[in-house]
Parts: sequence; structure tokens; C-alpha cells
Amino acid sequence: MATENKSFHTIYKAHSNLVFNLALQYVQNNEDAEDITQEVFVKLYQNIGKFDGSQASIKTWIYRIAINHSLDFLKAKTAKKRFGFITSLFNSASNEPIIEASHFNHPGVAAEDKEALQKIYKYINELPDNQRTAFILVRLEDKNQKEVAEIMETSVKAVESLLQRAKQSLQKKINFTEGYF
Amino acid sequence: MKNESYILSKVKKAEVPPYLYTRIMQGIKALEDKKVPFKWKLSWAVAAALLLLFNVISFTGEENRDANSQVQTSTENVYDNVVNDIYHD
Repeated sequence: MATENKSFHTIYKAHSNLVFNLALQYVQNNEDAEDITQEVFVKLYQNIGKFDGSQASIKTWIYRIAINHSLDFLKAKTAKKRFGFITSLFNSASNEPIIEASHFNHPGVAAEDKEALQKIYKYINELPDNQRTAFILVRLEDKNQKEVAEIMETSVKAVESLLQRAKQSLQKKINFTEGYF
Repeated sequence: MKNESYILSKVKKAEVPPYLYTRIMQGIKALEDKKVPFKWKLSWAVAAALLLLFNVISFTGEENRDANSQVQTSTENVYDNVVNDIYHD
């Protein structure tokens, strides 16, 4: 148990910032990113024995877990929000608070850029999961397309295409609100 | 898109809060505490098997008893129906 904890701590020290920052790119909220990081490392601890080093590096494996957890977290949150809304329709007298969307609280964003970045992240969040992941990894995490292809378990061409579509989609949305940019 | 790229480049990397490791270890410990030990799993399995066995035995015993009691009832009926009506005529 002690050696397990020691090696786990080494893995945590090397990759916790990676997981936390990646989660922040998906949820843009400090508390939610902390929750995701916690879930990712608990899962990692439980499944470390199943890790096959010949298939992928531990970093790639951690990236995959973090991406899946972030997307699942967002799906669960949306479902909760919908359920809360439906419950409030049938039970308007209830004093229970309706679950609100998390507010934008990214620790890496300066106050003066907050408004502009909040809008861009809103558009990024509207992208399909695959396009969003490709965009986040390439544009925000500075990964090259080959690394992204490995993380997403797809080809470099597919990543290129996802990225192209994501850019086009973002461009359309930005042009639509031209007044802002 | 240039503007967008420029603004996105302003996002800085954040540091993971120092208390998170303790929180994670607590989460792991809570999960491990929840895990049922093998001894308990085995005891439950044996208890369930014994209960099932007991039910099967009592069920088959009941069936035999039913069959016996049917025979007994039929025999009793035969004796009950013995009425010597000659004397009443």
C-alpha cells in the first residue's frame, strides 16, 4: 500500500496540472475542474493495474481518461439541469433551488479578458464533442496533430478535418456576432 | 479569427490547488472502505446457498407429506362410508 501510494503520488505530481488545466478548458469553472481532477485520479488509482504501456504512454492514457470524464461531467450536468427544470415545472411551490449552469470562473483568465474569453468559450462549448476535443488539444493545449490523433485514437487526417470543421464553425459564429469582434 | 486566437493565447495555465491531493486520497480511502472484504462475500454466499438448500428440502418434504396425507384421507373416507343401512330399512 505504501509503495502504491508513493508511485501514485509521483504520477499525481507529474500529471495533476495537465488534468486540471484540461478540465478547465472543458468546464471553465474552478470547482468543477477540481471535481473532475479528483474523479480522474481516483479512477486512475483503481485502474493503474489495467494500464498497458505497450499500447500508449501513461500521459496519453491520462489524457483520454480526463477527456472522457470532462465530457461525461458536462453531460451529467446538462441532464441534471434539465431534470431540475422539469421538476420545477411540476413543483413550482418547492423551495429547492434549480441547478444553474456553472458560472465562468477560469483561474487562468485575467479580469480584463474575461468577457471576451467567456464569449469564445461559449462558442467552443457549442461544438460537437470530437471537434471541441481536437480544437482544445491543438489550439489551447498546444499539442501537435500526431499527438492528438494518438490521444483521440484516430488518424492525423481525421484530426485535421475535425480541426478544419471546428474553425469554420467558430468563424461562422463569430461572424454572426460581428459587432463584437 | 485572428482576434480570437490572440485572446485565446492570453489564457494562462493554472496550478492545481495543494489541498486536492488530500481530497483525492480521502476519496480513494472512502471507496476502499466501502468495498466488502472477501471473507464477508464468502459468508454471504454460503448463507445464501444454505438458505436455498433449506428451502428446497422443506419444499420436497412438503410434497411427500401432501402425498401421504392424501392417501390417509382416502383411507379414512373409505372407513367413514361404511354404513350398514340394512338395519335402517
